[in-house]
Amino acid sequence: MIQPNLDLLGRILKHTDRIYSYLENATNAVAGILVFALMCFGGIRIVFRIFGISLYGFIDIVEVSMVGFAVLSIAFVQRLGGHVRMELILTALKGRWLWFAEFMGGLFALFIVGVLIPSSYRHFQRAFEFGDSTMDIELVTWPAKLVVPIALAILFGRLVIQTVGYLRLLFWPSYEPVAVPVIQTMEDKARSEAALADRQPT
Amino acid sequence: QTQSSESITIVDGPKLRWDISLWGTTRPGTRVVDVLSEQVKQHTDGNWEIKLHYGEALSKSRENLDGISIGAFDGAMICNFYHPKKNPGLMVLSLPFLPIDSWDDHVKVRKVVYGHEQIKKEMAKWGAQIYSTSYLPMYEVMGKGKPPRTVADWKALNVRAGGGIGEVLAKIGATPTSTTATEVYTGVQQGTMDAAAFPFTYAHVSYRIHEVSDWFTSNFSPGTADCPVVLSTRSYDKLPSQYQELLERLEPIIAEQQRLAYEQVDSENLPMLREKLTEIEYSDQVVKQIREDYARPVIEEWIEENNKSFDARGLVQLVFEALGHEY
Amino acid sequence: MLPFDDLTIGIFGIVLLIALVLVGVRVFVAAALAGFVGLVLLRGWGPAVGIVGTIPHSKTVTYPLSVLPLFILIGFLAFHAGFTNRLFETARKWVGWVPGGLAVSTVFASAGFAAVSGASTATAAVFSRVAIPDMARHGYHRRLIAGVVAAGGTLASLIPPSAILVIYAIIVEQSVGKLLLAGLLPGVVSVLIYTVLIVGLCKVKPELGSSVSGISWKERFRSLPGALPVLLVVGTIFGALYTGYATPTEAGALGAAMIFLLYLGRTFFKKSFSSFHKNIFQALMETAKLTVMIFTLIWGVFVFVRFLGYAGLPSAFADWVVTLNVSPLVIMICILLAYAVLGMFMDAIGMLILTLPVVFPAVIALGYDPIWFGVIVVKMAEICLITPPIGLNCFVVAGVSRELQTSSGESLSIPLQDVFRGVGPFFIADVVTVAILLIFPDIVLWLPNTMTDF
Ligand code: NA
Ligand code: NA
Repeated sequence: MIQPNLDLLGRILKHTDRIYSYLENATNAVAGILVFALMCFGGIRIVFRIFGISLYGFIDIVEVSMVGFAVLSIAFVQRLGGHVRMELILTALKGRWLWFAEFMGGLFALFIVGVLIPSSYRHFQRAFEFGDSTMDIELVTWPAKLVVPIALAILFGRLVIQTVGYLRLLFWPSYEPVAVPVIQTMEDKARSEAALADRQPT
Repeated sequence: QTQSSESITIVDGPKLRWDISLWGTTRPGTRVVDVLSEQVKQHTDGNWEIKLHYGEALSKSRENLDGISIGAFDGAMICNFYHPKKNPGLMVLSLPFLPIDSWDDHVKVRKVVYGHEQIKKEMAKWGAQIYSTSYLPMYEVMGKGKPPRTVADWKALNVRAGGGIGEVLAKIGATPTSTTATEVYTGVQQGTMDAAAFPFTYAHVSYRIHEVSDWFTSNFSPGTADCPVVLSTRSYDKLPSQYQELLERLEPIIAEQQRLAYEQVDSENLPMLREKLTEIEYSDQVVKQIREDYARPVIEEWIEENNKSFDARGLVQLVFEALGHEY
Repeated sequence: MLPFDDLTIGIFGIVLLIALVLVGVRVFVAAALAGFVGLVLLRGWGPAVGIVGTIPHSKTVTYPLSVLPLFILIGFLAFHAGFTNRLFETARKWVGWVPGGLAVSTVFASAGFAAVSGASTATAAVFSRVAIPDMARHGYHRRLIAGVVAAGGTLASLIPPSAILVIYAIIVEQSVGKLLLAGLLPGVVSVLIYTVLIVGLCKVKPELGSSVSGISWKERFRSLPGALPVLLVVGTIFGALYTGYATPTEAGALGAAMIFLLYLGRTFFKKSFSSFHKNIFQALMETAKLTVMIFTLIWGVFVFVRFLGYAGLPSAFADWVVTLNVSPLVIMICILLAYAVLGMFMDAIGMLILTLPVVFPAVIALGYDPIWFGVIVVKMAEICLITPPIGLNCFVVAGVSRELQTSSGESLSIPLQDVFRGVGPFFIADVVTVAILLIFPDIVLWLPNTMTDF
């Protein structure tokens, strides 16, 4: 998989990127499974209700578990370049200027995520040390709150990989882009939608 | 209109702004903070502005103690049952069927609870201290279908009730269910639940439960909860002493206004409820029986659970004593 | 203390946010960063750090938002389960006889699919594949083909389930169930206006598209079972929401579970097991990806919203708008125009989350209904999907068509400029729809209001 003609930094990045992807894929798989579980759980709740049985604490359980699909796989989407942004100016940029803009974007992200990790960790810590629970069945909330700094830490790692990737391209714009999401042109976007439609069974 | 202007003495002091975190909109249960803000402004000639941020603009309601802890704002309203484990001791006020029978009882019981070491300690963990409270009224149950005239009638009912009240109802034979307050209306209407326990009368009416109900209890009094106004200790300590004194002086005035606010909604709601719905009243005998046979075991369980972290039994005894009962 | 008042800092924050978004910083980063900087200026470093750390958890982990992944899942499952082709068949047999019959059928089938899908671009992509070859074979004009597919896709966000209506409901704290119901009739109105437009165009210029003739009633009824699964799921979701029997989350779970079971049943019936688990896995991964993307956007922007709250800007803006000496209708039209311009450059969800915290209080202060405004704003966001320079549905149609061929191997590619020209009439139809909803707000409000009053 790894091209021998890449520069050393490029090879290191490509390798790290690949190994890191396994972790991110796993987080997204967990999220997918949780959504499926939510579907089953909600369906069962309605069936039970038809028979007059009420599942006490449904809301509490949903609220504690939903962090798994709301936050956990945030790095996965960052790797794919899937977080919403406006690319009007970026698509007009070429070469060094483009990589400079991307690099700066990476630094901004590193800064704010770097602030958020310890501060969301302290949010967990308060719940853990002082106590916190849901309303009805008094589930402890700290495990859910701990997921946030973990997810953000994984995101931080991904941002480091990407930012180094952009820095490499800023220095050597002619090198092959490695470990960074390339901007999808509108044509690419349309093509990926088309590919989606292709999988449509007939 | 809260106090005649003649009696206002102006307190001199520096310009200051406080932020208070609240949820929802202004309502009878928030009279306490509305009056606090008005009175402070009047008494300091506008120098001290207490800004009320409704609608969870500063924090989610269940994270208000966290907000105080991190210095995000100077005060907030909290409800003990929103986060039982954040304030385990304060949950004593949510114990089922406490013998609170009058406004004076409400005041007395809070006084001993707020003065208790455990409560001060658990608030201090969050950097908070209790200033006053909304004196949440006792709950009553309102519902549709066959009214529960006897204890046995409760067996057939699906009731939206949380915490200790839910546990007692379960012991009586009813089925407690949990939903968000705003879902209760359609729940009762559709029959996914038969009845709901809410602070009486104002919460039932503001969630429009009476529109879909046939009956309500008026002396079942299964318990209450506590939604106090807490202040950041850091902010409080930074106040000049004359402002601290002012807060202390205002507390009884605020409490009185809170009482009037509930009285006023009750005077509008009660006749309307009595006209439209069947009022269910229980004999003293029945109420006593429920307190003894069903509520006491739940209170005992709570004591068991908490006695290892603080003197829960002592706290319960103190509460009963303040109410003129023995535990 | 800083020499600036809160409002000045608030405006500075907004300018910073706009600048960051413009240069292509991811919206969640831009919003969280601008919000954080603003909070530091207003409250100091310590409290600002504390405040931002509570938001990713407390703003995402709330029960009403749990409906989002389920609605998204419904769309992906319905798509993988292959309900779409048969929907188009049924529509063709029932409404194909009118002038421009195939185009009208496409609109109806798109509306049907919209009822199980929350995503506009996906709907446009799916129907490009299904309907373009068929219409081309019957000699329809390329521009009409492109226009109807691109515009038909926009129905997905108006007709429930719709992720974007849920997001609106959460941000402005309105009933999710009511908003979902409110979208239905405006969706139907859109379908009718599209139909009138197509029939009118094809009557005047019959060369644009013919009608389908010679279909017997027997054939029509025999085609109904094909549409049955979708109708069943739609009926269930609606019934549950309308009667209040289930919360939106439960209705979403039920809808998704039904489609899952129908798909499972079909798999057993056809013994096509090999693709089943792959498709389910695919649907779940796509759902998870889109879900975390939306949630990230929500908490990122809420960091900024918290800052605005401290600065007191939304209420100040609302006060200012009310004191303007202009009629509310004029202000509303200005707001809608602003959305139209913004929508040229921004994704619909991002646009809503960014603007609502400031715009919504002003709209309410002007006396407009919050439910009504939600439907109007979503309709505006949908219109933006078919307007240049960035109209995602048009890109999708052009992109998909490039890969289509007739049976004789002739390319069916429709150039982008033709797609944009093709949606022109539909754009006008949409403007008419918005005008109708402005004049008759009851079209939006009637259904949600009967929900609680019967
Ligand atoms: Na839809
Ligand atoms: Na556009």
